[in-house]
Amino acid sequence: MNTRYQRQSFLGEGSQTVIERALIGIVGLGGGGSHIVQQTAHIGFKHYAVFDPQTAEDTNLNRLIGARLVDIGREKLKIARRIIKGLQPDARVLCQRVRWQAAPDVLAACDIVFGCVDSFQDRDELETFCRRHLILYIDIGMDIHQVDGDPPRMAGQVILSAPGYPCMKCLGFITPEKLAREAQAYGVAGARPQVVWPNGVLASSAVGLAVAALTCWTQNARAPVYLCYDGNKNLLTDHVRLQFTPKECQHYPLASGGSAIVTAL
Amino acid sequence: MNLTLRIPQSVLCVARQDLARSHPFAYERIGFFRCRPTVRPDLIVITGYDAVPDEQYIENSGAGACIGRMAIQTAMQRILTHKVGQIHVHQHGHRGVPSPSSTDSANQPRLVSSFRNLGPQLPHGFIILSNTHAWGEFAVPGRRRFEKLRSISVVSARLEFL
Repeated sequence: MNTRYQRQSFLGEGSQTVIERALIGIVGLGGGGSHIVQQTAHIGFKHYAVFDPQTAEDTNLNRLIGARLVDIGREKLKIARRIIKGLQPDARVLCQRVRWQAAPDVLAACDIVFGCVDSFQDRDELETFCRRHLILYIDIGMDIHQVDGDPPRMAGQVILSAPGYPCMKCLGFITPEKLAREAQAYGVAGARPQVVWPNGVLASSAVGLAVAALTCWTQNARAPVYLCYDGNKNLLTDHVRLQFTPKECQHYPLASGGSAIVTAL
Repeated sequence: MNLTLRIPQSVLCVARQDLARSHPFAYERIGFFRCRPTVRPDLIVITGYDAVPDEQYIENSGAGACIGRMAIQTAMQRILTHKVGQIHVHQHGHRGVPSPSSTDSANQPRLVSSFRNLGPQLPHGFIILSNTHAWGEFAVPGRRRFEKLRSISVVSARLEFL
């Protein structure tokens, strides 16, 4: 094994080969995605498909890992690529300056997809796509809520959605009500509060799940994973909904995988 | 083309268990995976497995196993009814890369070509599983020649590459 990875040799014989072989997709290169880019590059991942149509703004600098003052106006893709290439010069990075829906063939090739998106709609579409293509999907997200008089409440989630296992709808994370509320509020949401440290906690956990899925170093790979983050208490715990989730997915049967076949009548 | 197959571990387990069962007279067992195309021509996903019932095998001393007309008709009907591709599969109980016998090489391409005639918009193929690896060739929509299988990803809570 390369001495560079000596300190992570506990992951098992052959683990570095598997890590280097896997193609990971990162959708959204903001506060969460930029952490994932950095950590996966340190671990030794060498195949990436990264998606983000945006450029860095000064309001991103409080949380965008790897961004410098001079990067304002630079594509987030280029910042991500710089981080990866700085650690893995021979890495293959497919940069997509589009929403992932505009390059579905690139996303379909991924073995694991990290969803670092803002809306329930985006999450729902990503999970559906990953289920159809038998891709492990790991979702992270955080939000801050404030009710008059109370201190702000910081909450977040890390979810591992694996084909054949309960999905984010089974887990109650995505519901028709949430999708409808979000659709009604479209365009009026404004800038959501975001800070660097909860993104780091959530992204680190997501990367840990990906490494465990690939190397099985814990000898206890499980799905689904639904971790609930309480940023006020600095706690990451199993979500209570896991106890009441059906064993099999009710929404994405394995038989519905692949592209739909359309036949002329 | 670097053809990749993705298969849920639960489906692979069902297939391996079925293919490992002994048969009253055949030396090995045969089954069919259901599969569908994806947005990438070089990526196929497996959606299920169908065993071949004991009575649909025919005695043939020249092959490890031979299935009869009814088994093939049933596979063809699945193409029409369920709009799924058919992958002929059998298993060799050893480690390392399996390879097709001369009987496999002679007969399976003809079977897969028949599947392709029936469902040209779907991928079809034949694979041989070993305990650790797989070998396969596929008829992919839009391609005249058979494509070699490069890898199989086995997907569950963890991810393995065969």
